Amino acid sequence: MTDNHDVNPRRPLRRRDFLKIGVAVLGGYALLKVSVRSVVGSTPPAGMPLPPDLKHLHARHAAIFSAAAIAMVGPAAEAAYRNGRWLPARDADAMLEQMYEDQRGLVRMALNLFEESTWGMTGFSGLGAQAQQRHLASWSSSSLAMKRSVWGMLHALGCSSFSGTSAGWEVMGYPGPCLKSAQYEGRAPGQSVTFQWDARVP
Amino acid sequence: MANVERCKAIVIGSGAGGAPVAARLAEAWGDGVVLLEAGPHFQAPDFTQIEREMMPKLYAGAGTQATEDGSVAILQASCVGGTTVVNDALCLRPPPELEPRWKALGAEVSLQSLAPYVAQVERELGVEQIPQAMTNRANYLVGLGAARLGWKGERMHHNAAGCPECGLRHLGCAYDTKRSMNLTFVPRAVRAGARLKPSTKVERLVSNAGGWRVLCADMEFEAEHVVVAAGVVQTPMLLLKSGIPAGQGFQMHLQTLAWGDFDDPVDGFNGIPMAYSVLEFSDVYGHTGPGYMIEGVSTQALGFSVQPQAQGALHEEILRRYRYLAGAMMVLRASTRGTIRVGPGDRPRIDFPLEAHDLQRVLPYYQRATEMFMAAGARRVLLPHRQAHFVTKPPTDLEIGPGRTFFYTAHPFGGACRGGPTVDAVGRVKGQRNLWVLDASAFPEAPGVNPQIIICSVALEGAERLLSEAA
Repeated sequence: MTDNHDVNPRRPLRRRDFLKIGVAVLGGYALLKVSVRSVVGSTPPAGMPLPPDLKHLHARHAAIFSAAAIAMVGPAAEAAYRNGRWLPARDADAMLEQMYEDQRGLVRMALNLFEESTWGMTGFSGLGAQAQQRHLASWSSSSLAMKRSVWGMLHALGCSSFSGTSAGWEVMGYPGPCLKSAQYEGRAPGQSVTFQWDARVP
Repeated sequence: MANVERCKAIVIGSGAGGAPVAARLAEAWGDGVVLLEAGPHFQAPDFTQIEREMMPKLYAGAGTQATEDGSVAILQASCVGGTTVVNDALCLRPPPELEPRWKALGAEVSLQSLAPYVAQVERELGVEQIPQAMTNRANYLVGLGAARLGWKGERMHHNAAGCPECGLRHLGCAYDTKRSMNLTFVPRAVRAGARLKPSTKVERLVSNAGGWRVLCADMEFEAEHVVVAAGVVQTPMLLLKSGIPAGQGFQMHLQTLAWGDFDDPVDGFNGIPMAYSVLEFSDVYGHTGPGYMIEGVSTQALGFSVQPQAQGALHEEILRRYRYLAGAMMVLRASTRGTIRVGPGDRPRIDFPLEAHDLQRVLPYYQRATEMFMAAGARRVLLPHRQAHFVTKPPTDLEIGPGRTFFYTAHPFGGACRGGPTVDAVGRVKGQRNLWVLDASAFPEAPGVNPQIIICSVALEGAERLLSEAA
């Protein structure tokens, strides 16, 4: 027996119908964005270099990751990136080399998701600086564990990449590691800070 | 056909569990002992002391190993000497509370019978209390804040007498002063005749006429006795791949941080990174606190930068305060029990759904750490939490949970717990002949203190038991 109610073309819209329409609109929108992006190509920040010969990150992923890493680390990072002292995509690619294949796939998928999650047509890497910060913050504090997890991954990869470079050390006031090997210039071992002990400290 | 080597005993893993076992067995059986290590064998000149170079070489998964939901990073080394190569060289004795707690979980343990092994390990590792003159300013400030609040604490012991204080213990000791397994029990095993095989990962164990076939990628071994001591993640993984039930009861000391921000430079990157311990809130050594220690900790640049959960201009501000920060680490005996399974492509799949009881003790830690640093004269305190960064008063309304707070562990345990479904009360694998688990994966419960000495001495005692049974 057929339910008349379900086949009546003139019945009023119900909640489930609105959900279906919403899903269809979002799906179409995402498809449109991907199509536009495939024509326009990836959108690295204007004038920014991408390292050649990446093994695990395609140019598009490298551009997305670089934009996210710069936004994550802070304003000083952008200058280091522009003058070639910091290549976050290269470091991320090296890190991916050490991961399992399914993890690499997850990272690439997360980058795609992150890029496509903005409402505008530009994707994350095409947003202005303030909009990028807002977008990152919304992922950082999201009620969805998946979004917080992606933020954590981008944060860890981006920040560790920057702070492993001399450009990062300059920002931090870090004199560099205290090295034994003569092939590097480094500080001599031993404490450079002396202080008086409070007698109460055992 | 793979190369086949025959031997009396094989020890899989050369860290704090495997190295002492290999040394003791080799003293009895000489070159009948083979010590297999999945990671490479580094020497002092290999430790370049550059974080971005050494982290991927030394750490499992290049330092990216984590629980499945990404909420807790799990730091373990993969090289000859295991995690003792990259640890902070802290040496704490088994607390008296360990014996009744482990016995209640079905493990056979007696601190009295363990004592001679503890003494032997301490001698081999040259354990001493970290001298006052070697305590850096960051650790001193932790001690100062605790002392001003009347909290009990002390300078810890380490196995790095004569340390040149380069601050890079986590990257392998370039000076050969940290007496990690690669410089102590592994050479002792080799001197006694053991055959050390680095970069040799075991794929599977197969029972074979009362003994074992040990299958590696391009080699095969046949042994009468096998001791698995591949570390808390890889030991259960190997058992599982060999068709032996394992992976239950994974635990850890849950770790997070807080930093006092001082007016004058602290420069914690100088000197010994971890030297001072506040015991007031622990539940060991006679204390009856909620179960966490507070340990002074300093981190070099790369390691530090991922810990505060900030972004953009705030992240940069935090980086610019790096020289002025003194760190303190929570070492919480977590009650959560997780599982380890074999994931796609042999990837460890570690599920660890943090229980409310554990999360509820994190906010009190942040509160105590804030009080401590403010008492020491800090202008404010930095927390690794996405909702709160700098605070001047103990926070009261933070939502603690995965993806909000920076958690990690360098102290995983379990997965093949004594008294559990995998091994018996002393470490024999149930239902299998001549197969033992003698590393921290057999711990029935996290000990509540930095575990290096406990792992070594429990393993040595297990080796002695194996020898007496074999005789």
